[in-house]
Amino acid sequence: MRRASYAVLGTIAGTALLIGARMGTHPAGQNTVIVSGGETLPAGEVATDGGGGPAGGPSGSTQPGASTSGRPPSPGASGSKPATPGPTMTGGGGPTGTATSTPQPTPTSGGALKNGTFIGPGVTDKFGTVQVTITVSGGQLTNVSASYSSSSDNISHINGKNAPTVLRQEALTAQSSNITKVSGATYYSNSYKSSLGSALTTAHA
Amino acid sequence: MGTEIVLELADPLPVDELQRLADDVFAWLHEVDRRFSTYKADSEVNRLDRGELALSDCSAELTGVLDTCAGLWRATDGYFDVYATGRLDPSGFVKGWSVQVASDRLAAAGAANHYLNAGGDVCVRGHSATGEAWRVGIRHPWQTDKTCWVLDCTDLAIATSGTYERGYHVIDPRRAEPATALRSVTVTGPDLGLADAYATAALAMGLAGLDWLATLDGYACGVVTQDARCLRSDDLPVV
Repeated sequence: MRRASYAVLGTIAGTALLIGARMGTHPAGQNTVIVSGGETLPAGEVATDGGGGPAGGPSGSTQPGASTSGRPPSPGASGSKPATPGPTMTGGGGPTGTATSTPQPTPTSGGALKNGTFIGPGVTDKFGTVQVTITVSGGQLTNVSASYSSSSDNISHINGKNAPTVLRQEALTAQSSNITKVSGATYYSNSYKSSLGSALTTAHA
Repeated sequence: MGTEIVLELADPLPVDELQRLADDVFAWLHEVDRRFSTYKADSEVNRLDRGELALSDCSAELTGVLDTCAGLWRATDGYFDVYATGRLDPSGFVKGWSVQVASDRLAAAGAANHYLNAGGDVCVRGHSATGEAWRVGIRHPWQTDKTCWVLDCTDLAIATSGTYERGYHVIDPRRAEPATALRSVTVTGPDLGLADAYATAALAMGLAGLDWLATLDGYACGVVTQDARCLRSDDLPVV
């Protein structure tokens, strides 16, 4: 199970802006981040193309082929808050692992956030590294995204046997073999083959 | 469309019996091609697509296939889509399904040990003539004379969908554009029709297909991305 870092964001009205965050392994590629707790935001604009959200892809609520749908982040390490939908302003707490404490963006007159793009510190715990990026324009939060990186070994051991599976990465090898039986992408061929015992004929479709 | 079909019957049956079994397999595959080929102008699929046939006039086989494809559309979050190319084309399921049916019929007829490969979609049953499990290589997606995995398998379906033979022919139905991020997707499991559709759907999903494939129950996979990353399930039966 992947962990999202949490950040609290105050809007002009002082209402916490809550957006659901899902960093799970299913194809929903929604870039929303649940905010709760007292994560602080870095000041200053940072130009970046990092910190992007999950790769765009199939979105939607259905988890095809999976036995469980949705994976709410589990609370676990101290300092983290459970992710729940719905507006809530909670104080204190913070992301798991060590977070660099940086000052909140100074509200401009009218209480708006400072415009720009801000990247949070990379927060690393034993499960991996999370980094949140927010965009503020017109004094309003207009985008939040989070990136998460970890090795698949970490993921698969977080919750023991019920953890979602991920694919293992390995080196692409090219093997020469005497294998005559090959599965591959469909190819076109008009070759004719005959063989022992039974006369095999190629179907010319 | 010329699809190469290779059949190996490993049961020590009389030659004329083996010949008859092989003839039946090819007759079935011919029949499937007549009904479902999008390259044959007067196939039942094309006639339905053109509106010359109403669905109620169609054969039980075609309606059964379309029904299964509707379920696969749901199961793949819309990524297995028989209309992804803008016209009716269920071949991403039909190819695997037709081989699975042929393999089932062979087993029912007493040929419990065989290898059937139609255009890269494979069913293996029992063991090879040497008594060992079947060894099936997955084509390397760049080096045409090499394999990137070898599977040691029995009673298994192996489907591979890839871009290295016919180019970017799998369409992402949401963007209505060819999917390019995955170069080769192999899915193994108990049913070749489903494996074929899952491989096709995963290819259409692009990188998100990696996560989706990892969630499939009872099916394993091996994927090579267009940027040459190589990923697989723990339970892909590699040698």
